[in-house]
Amino acid sequence: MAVARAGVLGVQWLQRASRNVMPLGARTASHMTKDMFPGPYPRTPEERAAAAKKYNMRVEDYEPYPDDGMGYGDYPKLPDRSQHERDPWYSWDQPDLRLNWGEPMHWHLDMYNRNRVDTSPTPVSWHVMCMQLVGFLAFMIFMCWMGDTYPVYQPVCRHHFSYNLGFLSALG
Amino acid sequence: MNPLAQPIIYSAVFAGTLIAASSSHWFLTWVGLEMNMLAFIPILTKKTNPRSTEAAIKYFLVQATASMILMMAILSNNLLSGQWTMTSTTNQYSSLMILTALAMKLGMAPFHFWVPEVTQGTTLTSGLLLLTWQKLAPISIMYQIFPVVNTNILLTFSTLSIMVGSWGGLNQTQLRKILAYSSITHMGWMMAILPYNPNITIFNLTIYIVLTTTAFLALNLNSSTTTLLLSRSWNKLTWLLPLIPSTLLSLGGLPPLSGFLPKWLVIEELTKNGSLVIPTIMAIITLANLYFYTRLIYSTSITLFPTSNNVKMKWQFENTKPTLLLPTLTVLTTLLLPIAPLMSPAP
Amino acid sequence: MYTAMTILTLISLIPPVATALTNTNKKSSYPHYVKTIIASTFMVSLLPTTMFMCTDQETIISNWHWTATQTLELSLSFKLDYFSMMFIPVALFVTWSIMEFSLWYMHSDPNINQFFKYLLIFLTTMLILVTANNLFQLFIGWEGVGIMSFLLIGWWYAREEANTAAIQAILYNRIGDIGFILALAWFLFHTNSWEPQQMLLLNTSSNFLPLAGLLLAAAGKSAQLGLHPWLPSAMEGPTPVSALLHSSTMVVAGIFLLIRFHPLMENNQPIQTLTLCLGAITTLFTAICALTQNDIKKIVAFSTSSQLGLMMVTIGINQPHLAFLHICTHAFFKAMLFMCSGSIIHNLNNEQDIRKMGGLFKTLPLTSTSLTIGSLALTGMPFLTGFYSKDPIIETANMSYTNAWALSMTLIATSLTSAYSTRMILLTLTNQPRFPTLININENDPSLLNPIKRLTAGSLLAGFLIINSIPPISPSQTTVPLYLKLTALSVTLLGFLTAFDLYLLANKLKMKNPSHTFRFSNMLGFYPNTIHRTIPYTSLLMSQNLASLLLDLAWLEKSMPKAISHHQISASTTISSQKGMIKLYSLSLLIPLSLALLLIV
Repeated sequence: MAVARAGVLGVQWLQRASRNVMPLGARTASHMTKDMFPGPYPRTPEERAAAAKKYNMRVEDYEPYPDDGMGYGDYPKLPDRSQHERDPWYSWDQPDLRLNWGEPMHWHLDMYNRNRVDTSPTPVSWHVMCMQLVGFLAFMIFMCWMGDTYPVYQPVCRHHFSYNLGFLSALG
Repeated sequence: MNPLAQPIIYSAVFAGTLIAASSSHWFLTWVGLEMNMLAFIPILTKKTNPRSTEAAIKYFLVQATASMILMMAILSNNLLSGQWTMTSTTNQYSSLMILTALAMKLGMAPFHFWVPEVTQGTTLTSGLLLLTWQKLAPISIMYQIFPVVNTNILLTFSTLSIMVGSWGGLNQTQLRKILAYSSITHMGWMMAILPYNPNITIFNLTIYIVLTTTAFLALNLNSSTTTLLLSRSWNKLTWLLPLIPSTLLSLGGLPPLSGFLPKWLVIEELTKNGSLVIPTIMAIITLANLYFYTRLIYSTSITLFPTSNNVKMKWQFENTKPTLLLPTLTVLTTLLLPIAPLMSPAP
Repeated sequence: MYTAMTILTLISLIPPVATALTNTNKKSSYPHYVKTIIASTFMVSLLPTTMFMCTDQETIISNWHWTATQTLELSLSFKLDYFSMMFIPVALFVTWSIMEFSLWYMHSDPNINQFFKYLLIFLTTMLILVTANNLFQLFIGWEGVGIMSFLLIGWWYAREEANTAAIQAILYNRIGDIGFILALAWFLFHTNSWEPQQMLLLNTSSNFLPLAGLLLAAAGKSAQLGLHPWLPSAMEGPTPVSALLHSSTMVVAGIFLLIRFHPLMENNQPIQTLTLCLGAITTLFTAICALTQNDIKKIVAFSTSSQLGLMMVTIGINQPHLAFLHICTHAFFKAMLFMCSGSIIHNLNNEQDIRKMGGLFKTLPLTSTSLTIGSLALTGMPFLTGFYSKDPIIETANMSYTNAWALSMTLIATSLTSAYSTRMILLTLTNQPRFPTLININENDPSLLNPIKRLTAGSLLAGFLIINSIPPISPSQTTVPLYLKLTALSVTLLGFLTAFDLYLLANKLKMKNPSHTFRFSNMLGFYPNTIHRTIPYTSLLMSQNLASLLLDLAWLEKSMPKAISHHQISASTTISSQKGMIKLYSLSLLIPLSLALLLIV
């Protein structure tokens, strides 16, 4: 997490720096037409309504990403839930992605598809899970270290009548 | 222009250049330059209008200033050394002033301001003479005095010329100005190699003259002076459509064409002499040159601008202008690279 | 002679692969053809093995020059020693049965030919791995096993879960491969050879780094703790694949690698300790996970994982022969357990939940019998196959001068093995049926019965046969006190009784909100839930931000194209906007001229 946050901060810093060097213009990255890009960040309620309509959403559901220069524009900020969580029995238009046509997609849909990040609820809370796993492993490692520091042995001796080479060991 | 005056004027222009180029005496050289400059003024005002008058006056003033500085340098050199011979210009102040004066005559940056103005003010043919023939005399002088010129100053002028020529041409729609800026760039290339290998300068000049002549003659067929006019040549002279792109790309120095040859030699020579930064800068900035030529090609040959219907009737009119030189020049403009080993100057 | 016969064994596996596309066998179907080939190959391979054992050979190495780089000579080299000679017939026998079982289990699959070809290539790569005498050849087999397991686990690729499981398998194996390649590079760099004999000669004071790489590789392939989650997920593949994967191929490859390189490791104390502790934790952890699973295949899968941990422990106490013995015996009953669960699953119309089974001993008598025998063999019931390997392992561990905690973990895991086996048997086979009534249960197909019968015989007898042919030097024979001798048996019995008692108790209890301990076991120790969410989230978010924001927006757009065009435009306007005034021209002459003159003063 810390790495990701540091990365994001670095990106923001770079963008601020580059914007000081030169002003922002319209995006002209190749092979993407302009109407495929998110529009400018909506400021007035009318703009919000228009943006919500554009993304097939109701106004009350629509919430854009914060306008912090990361280039999200008016793209809706959908809840961070994976597609794995969605109803498997519903007849989706796109069953493998569990999506309907025209439905707004998460900005990070690639990350939340069904065989990547899973966010489905668990019966045990996140912290309990982490703590129990880490606790178990830590206990095991500690005990292994203890066992390694103080090894044990049992009273045994060489076999006297081993069927093949026993006589050799008996001799010496 | 008076038909009686015309032969005298042209012969004076040519004689002036020849005197300047063939003399090794500073005074006679100066006389040749003066003759050439004074005789050129009527050529600039071949079509009399305020614009051409202004151009002629500018040309006169600039060239006169340059001549004056040149004269002063010659005299001071003579005062100090007692020599009139061009090759014995030992005083560095004089040689610097001579360099400045000649750079001004050649239209190199930072004395380039008159070149686009004057070229824009005259007809295409006068512009052709201005950008080709008029370079001969100063360059021949430079060729003779190259051992004594200050290399650092010359390289500064050259690099500046290349920058000015490339960036200046970016913002133009007037064809004569574009060619003027292109001339500034080429002067930069020629002068950059002068201290290392003056033969390449001459070779570069030859190729440059061939290319510029082709370009001017091709434009002259339709009297195109702006991008817009050039974009209408498709219904008058269809065969210009492949010709102009190849000429312009050659002028920009695109590899398989003749224009690449001098650039190649210059870069090679400079790198051989251990100079890496300057040729890199030169080559990169000249890319802008290629860019605005490509823009011209785009409007000439690749797209079809919306035009009114009567414009499209032009194909009915026969072309009356002579195209005698054009085929030969076009071949020279585009196809010289394979025979490069035969003509490349001795190292 | 041995070499010729063994090579014949290996080569006879190639025609079925080669002829898969040509369809020359019009009369018998391709799957039958493959099965027959495997069976005959098994027969052929018995001959050199028997001769090898009877004449007390040590090792036969055959070398063919392959290629040479500037300093390194690579050869095609087969090592036929006790391990490979023993493993080949075992693997062929088990695969033969599995192939025959697949004829029944996969008969309705449209791509059954391809399935058999995959199984065959899987087996072939495993045999390449066990017979290889240099690391490079071993690596070919290693990667072949990895990629075939990917293809087979993802056999039902239309299902997202199968895809995920296949990707998990290949990714966890890639993590292990990092270690393998590290070891490859280290050995090449420091010993200039990939042959174990030369490494051993040159590398007397074993270095920690390459051995740790090998241990990581083995942990990835053999699903040791940390890299284990792919193994239960791999149950998304068809049951024959699980059987093959868990018995004689793939998962034992890691253990086999450590057995092969044991001469390097045996004097390296840190690696030994690491191996021992890793194995012990794995065997306990996965046994705990197996306790509460409801999917019959998952229980068997976790038992495999637990047994792999046990093998790791055995290597950790310097007993590679015992570990190998356990590989061989384990192959028989584990393949059979999978077949039995496959039989149950198929007969109950693809029902895998043991809560919805019960009472199967009446309807599926042979399967029930075999399942019971297999489970008993797994728990180490005396004089079944598992006993001959498991009992010596625990006995040797008991009398070693070693880590007490690792030892007790192993004992607990042994006890838990019998507990979850008992739970599985009780829930599936006994009591009243809990499955839907209208199910057509039928276990009369010979291609189901024969392999199970064969493997049942193997589970009864194989251990006895194999332990009698083991070189007598390795497991040292000792005299031990009675309580030490009986430890393994008593913990097994303890687990058995506890599970039985708890089962009777649990039948009468009401539904209760499960405790955290139960959750820990049921949710696989929370390992997949935490690790499989954190790591992909972090890396995917970071790469998305790096790719789309840092690279696209900042670098590829703002700082490069936009900046360039901006600078060109401003330079161009600055330069070409001139007033056509002559005094400025003169100024432009005056200033540079005077500056230049001043400059050279």
